[in-house]
Amino acid sequence: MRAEPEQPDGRLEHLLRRWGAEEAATEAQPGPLPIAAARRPVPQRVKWGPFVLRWLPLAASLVLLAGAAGMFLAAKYGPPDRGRARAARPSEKRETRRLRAELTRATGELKASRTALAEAEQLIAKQSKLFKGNEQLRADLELARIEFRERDADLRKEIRGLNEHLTAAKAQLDAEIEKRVAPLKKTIADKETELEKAVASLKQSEKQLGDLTKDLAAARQEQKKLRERLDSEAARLRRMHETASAGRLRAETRLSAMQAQQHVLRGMLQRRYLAAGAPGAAGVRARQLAARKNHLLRRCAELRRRAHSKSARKLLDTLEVVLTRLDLLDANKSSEADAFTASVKRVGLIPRIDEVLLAGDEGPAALAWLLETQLVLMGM
Amino acid sequence: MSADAPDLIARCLSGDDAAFTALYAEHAGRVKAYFLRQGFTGPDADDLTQQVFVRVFKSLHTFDPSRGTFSQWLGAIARNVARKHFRRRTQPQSFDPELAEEMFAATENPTGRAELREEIDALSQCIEALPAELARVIHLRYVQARTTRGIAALLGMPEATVRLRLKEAAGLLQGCLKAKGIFE
Repeated sequence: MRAEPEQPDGRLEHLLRRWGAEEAATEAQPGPLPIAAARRPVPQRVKWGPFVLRWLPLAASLVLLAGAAGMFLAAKYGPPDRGRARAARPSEKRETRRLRAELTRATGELKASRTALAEAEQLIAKQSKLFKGNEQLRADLELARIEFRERDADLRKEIRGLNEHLTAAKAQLDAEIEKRVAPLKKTIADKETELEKAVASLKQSEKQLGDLTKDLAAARQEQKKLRERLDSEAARLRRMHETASAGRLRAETRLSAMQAQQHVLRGMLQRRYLAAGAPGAAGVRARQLAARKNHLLRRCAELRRRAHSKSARKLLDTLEVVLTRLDLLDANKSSEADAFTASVKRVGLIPRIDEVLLAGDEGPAALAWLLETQLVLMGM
Repeated sequence: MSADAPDLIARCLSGDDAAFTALYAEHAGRVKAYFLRQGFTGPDADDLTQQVFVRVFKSLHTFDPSRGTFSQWLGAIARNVARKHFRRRTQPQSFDPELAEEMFAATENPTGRAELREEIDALSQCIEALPAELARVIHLRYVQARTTRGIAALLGMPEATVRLRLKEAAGLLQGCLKAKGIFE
C-alpha cells in the first residue's frame, strides 16, 4: 500500500481509488480458466546460444589441431625401425603425405575457425552494444518516468494550490455577494411590507369607495325623493301662497274698508269730543279748550307713573310736552298755531299713539287718555 | 494478496490443477477489472486476462517472492500486456501507468489490511448514502476509471457539471467519513 497522503482531499482520493479498484474487481466477471495445455509451466532452460556460438568453433579447431599435431609428431619422432620401415614402405610415405595434407587442412580450418571466432566476437560485441543501448534506454526511460512523476507531483501541487485559491476566492466572493445582497434583501423586505400595507390600504380604500358609492347612490335616491317632496311642497306652498295672496288681497280690501270706516268713525268721534269740550270753537282753539276741560295734562302726570312699558312712558313724556305747548300757545296768533301744527306732524304722534293702543299693554285709564289725546291732536 | 499465495504457487508449480483454479479465481477478476478500467471492452478484457494468466502460468517458476508480492508481479505482467495492446489501439484516452499500482497494490501488514478494509467499508456505506446522481458520477469516475470528459459524454452533461458533482460528492463523503471517525 502506498503512503497515506497528508491532505484530507488526497486521502479521500486515495481511498476512493482503492474502493474503486476493489469494486471493479468485485464487479468484473472473468472468463474461463485457460486450458491446461496453455498453462503448464515451462521448465527453465540454459541459454546455450551465445556460449556455443562463441566457443564451439574454437573447440573443434583445437581438437583437429591437436589430432593433426599428434599424428605429425608420432610420424616424425617415432622409433627408427618404424622410420626405416616407413621409408622402406611406400604406404607409410602415402600416410605421411596424407597426414601432412590433414595438417594443412586442419591449419586452414583453424584459420577459418579463427575467422569465425572473430566474426562471432564482432557479433557478440554488437550484441553487447545493443544490450548497453537497451540498458541506456531503460535508464533513460526510468529517468523520464521519474521526471514525469516529479512533474506530475508539481502539477498536482499546483492544482491543489489553485483549488485552494479558487476555494478562498469563492468564499470571498460569496461573502461579498452576501454583504451586498443583505441590504438589498432588507430593502426588498421593507418594500414588500410597504407594498402589503399599500395593498391593504388600497383594499380598505376600495371598501370605503364601495361604501361611499352605496351611500352616494342612497343619497341620490334620497335626493330624488327630497326633490320630489320639495317639488310637491313647493307646489303646495305655491298653492298656499296663491291662496294667501288671494286672502291678503281680500284682507287688504277689507282692511282698507275698515280703515276708511275707522277714519270716518274717528272723525265723528273727534267732532263730538271737541264739540263736547269746546262748544262753538274750532281749530287749535277747540283742541286747546277740550284738552283743558278734560284735564289731559293733570291725568298725564298720574298715568305716567303707572305706565307699564318704556315706550308708553316715553310717548307720555312727549305728549305731555305737546299738550303743555298746546295749553300755553296763543290760539289767536295763526303763526303759533301753524308752528304747533307743523311740529305735531313732524313728530308723527298719531301713528305712535296707535301702536301703544294696539299693543294693549296699558290699563284702561291710560288707553282712554291716549285715545282722547289722539282725538285732540288728530287732523292737524 | 492472500496469505496462502506461496503455497498456491508451489502447488501450481507441482502441476496441481485445483491450485491453478484457485489462483485464477482469486486474481482473474482484478486483472479483468484492470483492463476494463484501462478502457478495453469486455471481450477484449477477457482475452487479455487469458493472455496474462497464460503468461503467469508459463513463467510462474520465475516468480521470486523476495523481489515483491505476487500481486505486484501479476500487476507488472498485466501492465505489460495492456501497454503492448494499448499501442495497437486508437483510443482517445491515454494509457494510465499508475492504474496497475492502484489495482495490484499489496498490503503485507495484516493490521494495515484490516484498517484499509474498514475504511473501504465505511466509504462504501457513505457512497450508498449519497444522492443517486452523485453516487453515479463517483462510480463512473472511480470504479470504471472514466475521465471527466468521458463521464460528461456518457451522461450528456457539461464537463464543468461533472466536476461540480464530483466536488460536491467529495464534500459529502468527507463529512460522512468524519462522522464515522475515519477522518479527523
